[in-house]
Amino acid sequence: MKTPRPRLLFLIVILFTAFSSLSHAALSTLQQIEVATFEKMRDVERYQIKIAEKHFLAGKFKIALAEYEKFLTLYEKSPGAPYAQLMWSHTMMNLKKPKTALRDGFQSVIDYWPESHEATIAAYCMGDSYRTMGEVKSAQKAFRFLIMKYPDHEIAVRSRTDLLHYARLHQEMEERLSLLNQLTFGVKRTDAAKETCIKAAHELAELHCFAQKLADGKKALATTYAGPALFDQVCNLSAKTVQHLLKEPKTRPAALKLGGQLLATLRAETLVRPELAKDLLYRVAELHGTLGRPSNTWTVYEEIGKRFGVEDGLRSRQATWFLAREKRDQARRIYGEFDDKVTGQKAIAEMYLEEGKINEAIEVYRHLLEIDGDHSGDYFWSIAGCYEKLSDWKKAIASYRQVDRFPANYFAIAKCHRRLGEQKEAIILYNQCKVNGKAAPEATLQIGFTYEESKDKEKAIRTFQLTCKRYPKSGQASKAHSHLQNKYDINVTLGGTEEE
Amino acid sequence: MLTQSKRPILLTGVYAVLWCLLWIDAHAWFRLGMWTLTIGFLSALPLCSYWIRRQRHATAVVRRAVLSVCYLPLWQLLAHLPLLNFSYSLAASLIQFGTAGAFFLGLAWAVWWIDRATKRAPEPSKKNTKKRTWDPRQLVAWYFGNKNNKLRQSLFTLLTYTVIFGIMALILTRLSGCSLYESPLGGGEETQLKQIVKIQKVIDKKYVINPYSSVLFNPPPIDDVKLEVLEVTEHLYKIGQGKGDGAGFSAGTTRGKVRFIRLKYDGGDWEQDMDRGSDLNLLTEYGVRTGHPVSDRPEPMEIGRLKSFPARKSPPMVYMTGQQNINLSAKELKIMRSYLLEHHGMLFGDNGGSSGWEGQFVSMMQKVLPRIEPISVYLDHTIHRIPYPLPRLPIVAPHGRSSALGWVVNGRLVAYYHPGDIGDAWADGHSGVPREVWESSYQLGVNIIYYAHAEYNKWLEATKK
Repeated sequence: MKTPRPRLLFLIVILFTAFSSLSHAALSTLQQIEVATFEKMRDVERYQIKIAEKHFLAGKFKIALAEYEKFLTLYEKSPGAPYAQLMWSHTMMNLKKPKTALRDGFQSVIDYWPESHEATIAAYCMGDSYRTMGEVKSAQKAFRFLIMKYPDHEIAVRSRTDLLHYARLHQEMEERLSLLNQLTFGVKRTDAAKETCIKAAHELAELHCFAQKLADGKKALATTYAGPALFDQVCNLSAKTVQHLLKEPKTRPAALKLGGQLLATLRAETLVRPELAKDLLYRVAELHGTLGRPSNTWTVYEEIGKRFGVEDGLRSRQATWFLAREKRDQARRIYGEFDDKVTGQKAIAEMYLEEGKINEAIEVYRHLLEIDGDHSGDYFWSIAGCYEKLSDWKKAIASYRQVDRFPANYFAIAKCHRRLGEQKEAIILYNQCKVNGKAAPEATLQIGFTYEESKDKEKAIRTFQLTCKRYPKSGQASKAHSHLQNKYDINVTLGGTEEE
Repeated sequence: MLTQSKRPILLTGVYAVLWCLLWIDAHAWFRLGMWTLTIGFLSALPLCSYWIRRQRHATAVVRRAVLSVCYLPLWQLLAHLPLLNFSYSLAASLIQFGTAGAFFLGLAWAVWWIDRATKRAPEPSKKNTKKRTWDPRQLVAWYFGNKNNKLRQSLFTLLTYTVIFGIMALILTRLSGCSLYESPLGGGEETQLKQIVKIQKVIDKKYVINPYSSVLFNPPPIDDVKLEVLEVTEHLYKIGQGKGDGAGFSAGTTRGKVRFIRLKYDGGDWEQDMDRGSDLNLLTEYGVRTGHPVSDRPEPMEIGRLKSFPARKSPPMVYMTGQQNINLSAKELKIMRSYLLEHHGMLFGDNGGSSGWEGQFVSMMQKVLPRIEPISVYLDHTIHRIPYPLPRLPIVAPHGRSSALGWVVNGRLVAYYHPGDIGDAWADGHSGVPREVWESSYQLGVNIIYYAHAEYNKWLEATKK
């Protein structure tokens, strides 16, 4: 027997890796074939698997199912057979048949190929199928079994995450803490498990801190962070804890005490890490706000200004501070001092809009058109919106016409025409919107409403029915259906579909 | 011996008692059939007519009193008649207007009585002027004060009457009685409903008869050919669950029937499509397709009344639809929870026409079962397979999501939510949807009713002492 040449084998592996990395982009880790298994398969088997996979990724699950079945019939003894059976089950899951997937798919993988890599995956998928079917107890049982049998496998991490979800839902604090402790301290942080473990560490730390066990919380975070990063995380969590404790009158003194300690710590840290002093001082200011000491916040802002100079970030915070105290003129003055004129003027325009000073807002947007011509579309859109608020429909139409946002601007123009009583023009525009496939159902529905406004009841009803008939699966069909029922007492909607 | 003049009064009194029992049955017991109730309510017509004619020459007060008393049975009759045509909204409106009428009628009599009693009341004795007068008929009663006594007496009358009327209305509308729900007796396996049609190819023998042959052929007469078509094409329309024979359920009773209960709730249009025969059509189709005895009418029911069913005799499934809001009180939520979990019931929600109703239903279920997450009910779930295997979910108009939602407790679906106004497809005329859609809508309806009854039956069998 000839041994394969190493160079050729290397080439196959390289090609396979490149190909699989492309094609497997949409496959989850539970759906990917092992490289070792793929290597052992014959070309013809690989080809068959690839064909099935192509259909699976394209969402053609019925065809994919047939292709996997074909593989199992033709190459029953292939090393890829357990994978084909596993993928057959995944396809069944996608066809919304988890019961069949579980009974005839995942279970078969375990029964026929108990030692295979796929059997382990199938065992997890069985639990997942139970969850999909709403059989929580069976799912929990399966996940607990997996943690016990494969403690170091990726699926044990997934199982713990799933169990954690149920512990949260059922408010089982003991189990929740136990699982979080396992994920934080017990599980080996591989590439696949790392993210889950970090999340768990954060959750555990938060639980400890909210229960006023700050040391335990810090210990949980120390599994992930060290040095300055740990300090930042602990500070963030402490601030969150202060916020949490302030909610209850009973825990308020503890919150104030913790807040005081945190303020001192942050101040001290500004001396240790002068390069981060500005950020730390911002945190101090924020914490004063949380503790209900706004005047201290302002003092800290002034301190930052003196020490590091005034820039837009500080100005923005100062303006927000004034806004929170309803000192709008001062906030506007600060926005006007922004180095980044565009951002400052946008904020001013928004403030005018909030105050109902539409004409002033238009003036600001016109000024923005002059200084930031690249985003003229956005400003014309805003100006048109302002004119709409002023019920100046003609000027709104003129502004919308200068925006290149089809079909949104056509819809907006049509709406203005309807307000002007020019229903014919609106219908012409809606018909033009129909060119865009996605906008067609909405355009048809709006045509119906436009006919209704022009008192053409018959055409309106016909258009609503058309919406139901042409786009039976759309939300617009739903609206047309209920409108016909409510307004015209018409139940013959001509819709109806069957959702696969 | 009774005198001739007292006999009609006595007979009317007996009739009044019977009428009250009839009224209670119509609102709380639900033992009598629709037509029995109608006949019972109609029987008030001749009696009212008799009393009106008899007292036509009496004093104005007596005549008005007779007319006022006659108002009650006639109003109830009027509110009952639309139910024969399943016009539940009309009946509800008549009840509301009738209640307002009864209120004002009673108020008029209360005003008349207090005025008359005040005039007739004896003057308070001048000896005991320091003693407080409590009698409301006396204008000098201490609680009327010293000024505007007449006005205050009128307000007092109005207030007292309104409170009494309100309490009575509250008591009467909260009547729950003790209802029973029994499934039909039978049994069988949970199998898919299949129409077995064996197509037999019959190759006719062709006799080639040579007219010149000397052999005589006798072709068989046509009557002797036995096709046995009826046997081989018999439909398996008798389905059930449990050990037993015939269509039905092993824990059912011979008088049991499958009923369709629609829940009434505040905030929305619970009665949607009921006037168009939606529920009745499904119930009839269920009876025809499964062979189970079914009730002759659907039943609208307040959520509060679910608690009136005793354990093991409660409805396996209740239906809920609408397109506006669902406002349930904390008590109703508790009753619903108890019905779903302790009484082993099932709630079937159908979105009648807005994506907002989906949110309303899901949020209601979140309050009823806070620790249960909804799942997307998959296509190979028993509810989608037995008795009819459904390859797709029928949708009349998609109001939100495209798949059904389910709430599972111990492997059993306790609530099923359909997003696509399936009730519209059951209604008369099927709302113009294609045949395949309304046919599968019926099939889904049958499946859901059957699933709920089968699960209920399994629970009854499992917990049998």
